[in-house]
Amino acid sequence: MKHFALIGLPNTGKSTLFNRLTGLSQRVGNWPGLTVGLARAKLLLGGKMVELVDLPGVHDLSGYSDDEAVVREVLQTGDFDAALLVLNASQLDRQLPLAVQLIATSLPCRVIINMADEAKLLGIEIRPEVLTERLGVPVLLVSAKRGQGWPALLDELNRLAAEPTAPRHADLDRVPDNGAAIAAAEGTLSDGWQLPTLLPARWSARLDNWLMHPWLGVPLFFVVMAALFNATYLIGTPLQDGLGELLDAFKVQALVPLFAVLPAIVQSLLLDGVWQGVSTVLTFAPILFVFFTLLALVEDSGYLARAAYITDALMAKLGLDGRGFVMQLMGFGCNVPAVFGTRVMRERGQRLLSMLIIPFSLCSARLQVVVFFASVLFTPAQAPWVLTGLYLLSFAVAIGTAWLFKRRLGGCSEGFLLEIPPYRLPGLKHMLTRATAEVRAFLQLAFNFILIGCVLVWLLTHIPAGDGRTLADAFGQVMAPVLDPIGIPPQLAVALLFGFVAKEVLLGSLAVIYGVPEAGLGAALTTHLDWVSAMSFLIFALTYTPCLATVAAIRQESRSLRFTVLSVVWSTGLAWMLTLLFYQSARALT
Amino acid sequence: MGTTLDRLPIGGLGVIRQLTMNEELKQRAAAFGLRLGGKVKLLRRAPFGGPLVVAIGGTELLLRRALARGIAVELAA
Repeated sequence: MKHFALIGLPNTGKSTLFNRLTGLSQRVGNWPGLTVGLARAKLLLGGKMVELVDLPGVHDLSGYSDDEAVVREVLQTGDFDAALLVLNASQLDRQLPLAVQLIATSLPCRVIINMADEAKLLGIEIRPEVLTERLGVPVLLVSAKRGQGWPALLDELNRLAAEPTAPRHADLDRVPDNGAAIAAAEGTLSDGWQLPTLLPARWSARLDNWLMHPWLGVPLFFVVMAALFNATYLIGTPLQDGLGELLDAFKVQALVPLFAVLPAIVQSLLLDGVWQGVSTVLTFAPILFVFFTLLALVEDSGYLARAAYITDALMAKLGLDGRGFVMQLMGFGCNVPAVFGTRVMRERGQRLLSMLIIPFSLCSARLQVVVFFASVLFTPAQAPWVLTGLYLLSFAVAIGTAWLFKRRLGGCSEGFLLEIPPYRLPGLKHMLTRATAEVRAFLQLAFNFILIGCVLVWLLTHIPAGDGRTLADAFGQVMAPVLDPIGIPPQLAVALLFGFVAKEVLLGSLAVIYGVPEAGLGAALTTHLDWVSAMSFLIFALTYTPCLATVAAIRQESRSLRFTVLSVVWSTGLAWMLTLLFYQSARALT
Repeated sequence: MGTTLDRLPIGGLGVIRQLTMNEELKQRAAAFGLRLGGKVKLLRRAPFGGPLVVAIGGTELLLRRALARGIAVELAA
């Protein structure tokens, strides 16, 4: 089998081209540090099986960013028969140096100039035959999105694959550094690629006059974000509820009768442990799917770069960049997609920092807990202020954490360079395939993680520990020395454990603990807890470790167990200290 | 007349004369088209010390002021 490497800069439509060639779905955008899991696909070219490997987008073969290191590593160690380089037709002036560098590796190359349609709209003139002659390798002009120039590209690739070749490593020692490559590329473009003297007035520029307006930009940004969240929940929540009901019905109609022959304890393990886990994971799927479809719209349309421009002034002070702000806001809906969304960031340090602070955004599941507590324990006049206060607290904790960790994690702040691409209308099919791939990846990982968590909690609450008590009761006793100083009664320790599995079950578990139906929980809370203890529980529950699904997402995205542990330990430790501060001072004052 | 990129007037065109930054940053900047002799036009300046948007050839680019301060330009017509 032959091996071809697919290389290109970010924003060249490389993934679209890959998908069109191979029929496989792969997401647009690049992510750093992913040494494994490069997209590969086999296809038949020129009567030979060819494996096409999609490498991360890079600017420069001699650079030292994470992505560039990955590409160098793969090219140097892998056996390749050819390299296909994808360039953006509108930006050949700054992309051609990469072609010069790649040709110097002595791998057989084909240069594919993509987005020919967009270049034409911009009035750019391209003559591939001139570039072919100057570069000494075949240059093809295509539009992967519209299929323009596709037959010619396939002909060329068939020919390339049919040629007898010896696979080889790329010779990176012969790659000229960026400066030399730029100098070499400079003369190549004349006659072969010409910008119009004046770019035609595009609606892109007009749109930017609104969206990047000095003082209209910020309100418009919030309008766009609000629309995004509302759409996510407007479409996603009914789907989530519907799926939840369906799963419940399945449990009652099919599983309960099926397991009826089993001993009660096994039934309980399967239904309250395993099935609880499975259905928790599955109910995340619709909302993630909707979110990723919309995020694809925001990212591929080019708005994300504008949002970064709008929010960068604030984020720079926190050691983050503007794209982090979008994800932080996203976290107020659900932390899980927000953590996945950090992939739009290039630098690993910035991503980690974002992932560390996203869990402090009050997600909708936690909001449910706050709203319930506030309405039960406070007067209607006080309740909105309690809510506001907790929102402010979550912002303060996130900002404080970012500020504390920015030196340790945050990357080089002044090196933040981001292309502002022209606005594009992303294809619906592409957005949907991308969302499907994301959801599948989440389900695969989360299943094990959440399943184990659910079964563990089940074991805790069902294994007897003597005196008619369960392990959970014993757990409460063990935790008492830690929970007493922050005013949380030991029997609530189990509720916090449930909250770790999913914040959605926190209220339900409280009802179980007080032995009342969920409707009677309000009354039970007011009799068992005074407002100081209740507030303490609330502050702790909102700040401590994010739910298992979020932890799973952090583990998957950071690819670091140490970082995942840091995230859990830091948030739980911080929650304890904040609650201690609140409880002790409130007790001292009242 | 010499100045730095962050101090160009909006819509002003400059030719890059000097890049004062470390080698790694210089490489990154060059990959985006910010290099000696290159022509850059300042398109936007975000309020509150926020980033700048510049155009180099057909590409629009966001960069922070700290970086732009290290880029000396000569005003071009």
